[in-house]
Amino acid sequence: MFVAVSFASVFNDLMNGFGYTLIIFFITLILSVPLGLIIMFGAVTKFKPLKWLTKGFVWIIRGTPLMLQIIIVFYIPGLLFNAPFKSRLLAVLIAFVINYACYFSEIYRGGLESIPKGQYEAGYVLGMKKSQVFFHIVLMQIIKRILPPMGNEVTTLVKDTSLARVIMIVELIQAAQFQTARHGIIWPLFFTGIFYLIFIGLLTLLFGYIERKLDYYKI
Amino acid sequence: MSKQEKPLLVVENLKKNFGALEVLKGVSFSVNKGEILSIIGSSGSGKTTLLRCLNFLEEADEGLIQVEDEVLFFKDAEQSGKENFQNIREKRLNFGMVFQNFNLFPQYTTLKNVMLPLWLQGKERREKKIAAFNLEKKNNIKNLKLELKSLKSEYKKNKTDENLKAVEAKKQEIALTKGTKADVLSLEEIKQKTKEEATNLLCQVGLSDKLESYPFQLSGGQQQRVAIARAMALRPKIICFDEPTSALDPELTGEVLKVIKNIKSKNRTMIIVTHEMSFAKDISDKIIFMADGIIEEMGTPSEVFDNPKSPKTKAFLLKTEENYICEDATL
Repeated sequence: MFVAVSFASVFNDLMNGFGYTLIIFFITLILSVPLGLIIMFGAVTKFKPLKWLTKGFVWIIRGTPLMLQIIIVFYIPGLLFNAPFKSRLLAVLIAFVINYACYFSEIYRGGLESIPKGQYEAGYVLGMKKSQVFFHIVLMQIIKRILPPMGNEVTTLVKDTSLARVIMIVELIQAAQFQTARHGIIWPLFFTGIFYLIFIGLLTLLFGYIERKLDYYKI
Repeated sequence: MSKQEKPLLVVENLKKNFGALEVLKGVSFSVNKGEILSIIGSSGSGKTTLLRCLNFLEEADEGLIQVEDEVLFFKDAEQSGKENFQNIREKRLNFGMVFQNFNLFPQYTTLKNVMLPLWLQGKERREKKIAAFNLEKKNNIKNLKLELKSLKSEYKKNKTDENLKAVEAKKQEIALTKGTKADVLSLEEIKQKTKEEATNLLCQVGLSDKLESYPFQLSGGQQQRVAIARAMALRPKIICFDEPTSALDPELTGEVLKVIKNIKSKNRTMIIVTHEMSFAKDISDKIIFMADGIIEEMGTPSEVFDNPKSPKTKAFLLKTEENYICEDATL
């Protein structure tokens, strides 16, 4: 029996998938940006054990596929502690947040280390505390420096959300593939591309806007 | 009675190594209040390191640094260990520093560059005052409450009107004390004061028309003048200049040197590391010639420039003179 596939129903399904894509994207971004800062402080601390621990952790996270990390995070509680995840989405979010926080921490570290020593010294001789030097002098300069690589990383995050399907989260691509498999039509797959392009286009505009906003000074 | 003037700054036997490299091999000198001391000498002679030790940007290995009667730094050959940062922070405020590369904060306007240290200090002082006041208030209230307690028990034993009145009066006193607030400026007032001060300082260095400019919009000379205003902001007892014109084009050095001359006053003590010989000769009360980590010669400008005793000084001065002649020739 032939069932007519209406554009509306497919589009509706894709929108549901895109909803998951957005959830993963925004929650990961919101949590990993500050977490990355904490990891960065670990990586630049003078306390050697913490420094090497952090560096080792970052190495493992950056050195293994995010897909593997998602699977491991998802299975560990169930298989080792007999307390499986109630929510697949939560498992995905944990893996994403940790993964992206590690990448962000490296970007931050690059930004931090690019600030000339003279900026710190100028602050210190004016009687500033270390924290004052960081928040009043260094931070804004770091933000300006790291915007381009952050923009890069954030667009990657949009596309990486598709990895969530590995533990059966029906995000955009998974949703489209179901349509393709069920109805034998290819266009939903192409259609996902439009979602990504539009979303990343918006993000590119946003980052461009922020960069222009910070153009009032030069480092 | 001849009053011997006490020096403002005393440095004795200051030593600093970077690994095996001895940069300062025991430097001793003193500066009186209102004096300008210029330090000359070839690159690598330890001039900059000396200034950095005074500002606690480097920790000396040995020696004494004393400002007015306060010993800021003292270390024997045997002693070691680091100063804690809080102490260093307060000690640093004795000195201002003007860097070779200006080190202005690029994200702030000229005005804000000068305001920032004033603002942070003002805020911190205000917080300290409030904290001290609150502590005292807390203790006062505690004592008053004890007094109230004894008055109350008195009233229980002897229910007279007088005793009741005393209890009521004490209660009111507690309420009044609770309502008091520390007598401090509001943050808005501090900001306003800070702004006025910073504007004033920038006028002194001739930049009243550049208050809202960002450092990248200024010439090197202007940037260095902002840095000078910023270094004066916290009223340090001694302002150090680390080769203030070395990063500038020759046509821009003049304006910076002029500003340094302009801010010279009876109450302003300055230590200037410089390669500008004629400037040093002109402005200074005292000249130190450094070579290989020691003070090779020290004296008034005329002593050092016109009658140098040490052969190293003679050679150095001759060389710089030759340079001038060469420069003149190319012009």
